[in-house]
Amino acid sequence: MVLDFLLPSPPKSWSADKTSAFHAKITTPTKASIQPVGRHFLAHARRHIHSRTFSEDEK
Amino acid sequence: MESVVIGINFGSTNSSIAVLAPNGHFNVIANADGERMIPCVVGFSGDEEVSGTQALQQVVRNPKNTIEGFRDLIGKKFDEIKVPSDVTHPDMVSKDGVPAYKVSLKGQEHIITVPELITKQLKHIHEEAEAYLGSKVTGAVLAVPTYFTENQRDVLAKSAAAAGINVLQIIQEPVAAALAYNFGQNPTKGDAQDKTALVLDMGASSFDVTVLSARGGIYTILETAHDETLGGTAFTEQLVQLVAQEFKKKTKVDVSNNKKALLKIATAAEITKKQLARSAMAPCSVESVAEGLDYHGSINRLRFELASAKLFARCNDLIEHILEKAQMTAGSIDEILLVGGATRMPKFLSKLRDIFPETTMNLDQESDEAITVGCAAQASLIAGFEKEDIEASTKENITVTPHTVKPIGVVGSKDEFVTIIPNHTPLPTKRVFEFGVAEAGQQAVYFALYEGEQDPLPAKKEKAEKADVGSDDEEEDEEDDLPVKPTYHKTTLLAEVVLKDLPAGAKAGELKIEATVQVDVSGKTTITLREKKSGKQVRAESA
Ligand SMILES: Nc1ncnc2c1ncn2[C@@H]1O[C@H](COP(=O)(O)OP(=O)(O)OP(=O)(O)O)[C@@H](O)[C@H]1O
Ligand SMILES: [Mg+2]
Repeated sequence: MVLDFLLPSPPKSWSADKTSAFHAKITTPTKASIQPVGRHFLAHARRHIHSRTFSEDEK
Repeated sequence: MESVVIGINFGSTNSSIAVLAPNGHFNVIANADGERMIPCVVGFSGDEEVSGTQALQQVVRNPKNTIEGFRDLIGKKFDEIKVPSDVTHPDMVSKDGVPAYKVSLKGQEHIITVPELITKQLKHIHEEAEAYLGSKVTGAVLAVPTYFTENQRDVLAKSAAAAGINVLQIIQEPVAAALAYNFGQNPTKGDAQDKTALVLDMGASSFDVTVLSARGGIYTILETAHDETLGGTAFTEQLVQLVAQEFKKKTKVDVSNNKKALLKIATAAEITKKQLARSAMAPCSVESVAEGLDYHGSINRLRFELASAKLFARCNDLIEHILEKAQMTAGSIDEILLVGGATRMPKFLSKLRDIFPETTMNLDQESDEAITVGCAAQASLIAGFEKEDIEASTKENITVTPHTVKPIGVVGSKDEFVTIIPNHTPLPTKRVFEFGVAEAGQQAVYFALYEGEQDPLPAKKEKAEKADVGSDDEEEDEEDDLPVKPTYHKTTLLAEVVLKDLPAGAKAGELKIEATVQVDVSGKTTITLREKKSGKQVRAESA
């Protein structure tokens, strides 16, 4: 996805030595069933069974 | 002999089989009679047991020994079912609590249970498949309605195994259809294909509707609803009534209580109804309806549609109902997937346009073949796996996954919320996207991630009651009726990340920043910003 807007410079108040700040967690996820079909589900199952990460998956 | 895997749609009225062809397409294969839809009918005639088209052909002649509609009784107890008892249905009995039919074969009475019938029917189509393919079928994927219970799936699996079928997997019908339509199945690094479909499946006996989301190629069923009295048969019944009235007008013979005559008319009306999908007028001929009198007439589509107006209205009611249940609007549906033979009726489609004037409707797939094709696609995908691995992958520890509740995104310069990870996205997940850098010489970029919420929808205008048929001036104010695509606004700032020390002296728009957002099962968020030319990057992880 290419977003057609530009990233600004950090705000004035941003302290020079900081690279990140986390403020809140996402709303607690709810459990639901995914459907065990298709290539992408298989990739999900593989990641789960072999506890692989996304980047290992790309190799 | 080569071996192949197939997809089987075992509908309540029709079965069909599909297979991957050498050209990469999935073909629905024809049986010995040249038909792609194999009626789910088992019949007994003298010394012979017949299936499919042959069995259907004897339904008027020998209804007591012709069994239809048994698929829907899978896994049910005799006490739970409605037992039809008249001259046009075989007699039913309970065999150890399991529904069974009493038929005569070779001059003797036989009791055949529902699971036994299922085995017979599946064996029949399995043999048809092997005969057509000239090779052994090594495995099959089957589909069942979403409302099937675990027990019903078990009975089906066992009955199929008894028919000699190696069942690789049993999947949900709307999900199979979505695969056939290739709905959201080609996500790329730049486009995760996050979208939502409404699957509309009207077969012979029921209308099943499903809201299905695709997120990075993975499906989640968000809502289901069905009306088990609304299907092709109910529409055929309207034609039967029309023909019976005409017949009475012409001959003064009233057949409204003559089950056998009505069955004859229904057989002919079924053909007439399908022709009416293509032409404005269709003939209907029934020989010897009653008292030796024939019926020859024709029905025009408008008359059929008027007679069925209530049924068409119920179709739309069910759709409105599921949208409400899913807390969605017509505008949040990206695609409509049509499944089941009865969705071919032109009036069904035009009524659908009342709710979804512009939504993409997929027409590149024969609606009554979608489930079969999807099953075949899944079968060929998993054909190479060990059975235990397929089973392990469908266990709850893998399929039950946390899903996002609210959309996660970024905010543009006009404060517009741009969704990166929509709600209903299974976790863990990862999205990659790209930004330009604002100004010439800019050496640091600031990235902020938010959670959002849907904006309130504009108040619904009261729709004036539209005349249903023949009003040509419907189009005038169509513009106002377009369903609104939901928009979002930011609610919570989740994280801020800064990438510093970008290459000096870059021109405006020259540097491209790639942002990667990952959310794991616990909601932990990881953000990576990378300048593509220099490879300079920063990675930040929430607690
Ligand atoms: N061209 C058409 N016009 C109208 N109705 C049609 C057309 N083609 C098929 N049908 C109807 O579609 C129905 C069969 O659809 P399908 O094969 O999807 O059913 P099924 O899956 O066996 O049934 P169910 O989903 O109810 O279990 C029949 O009622 C048939 O009359
Ligand atoms: Mg069906």
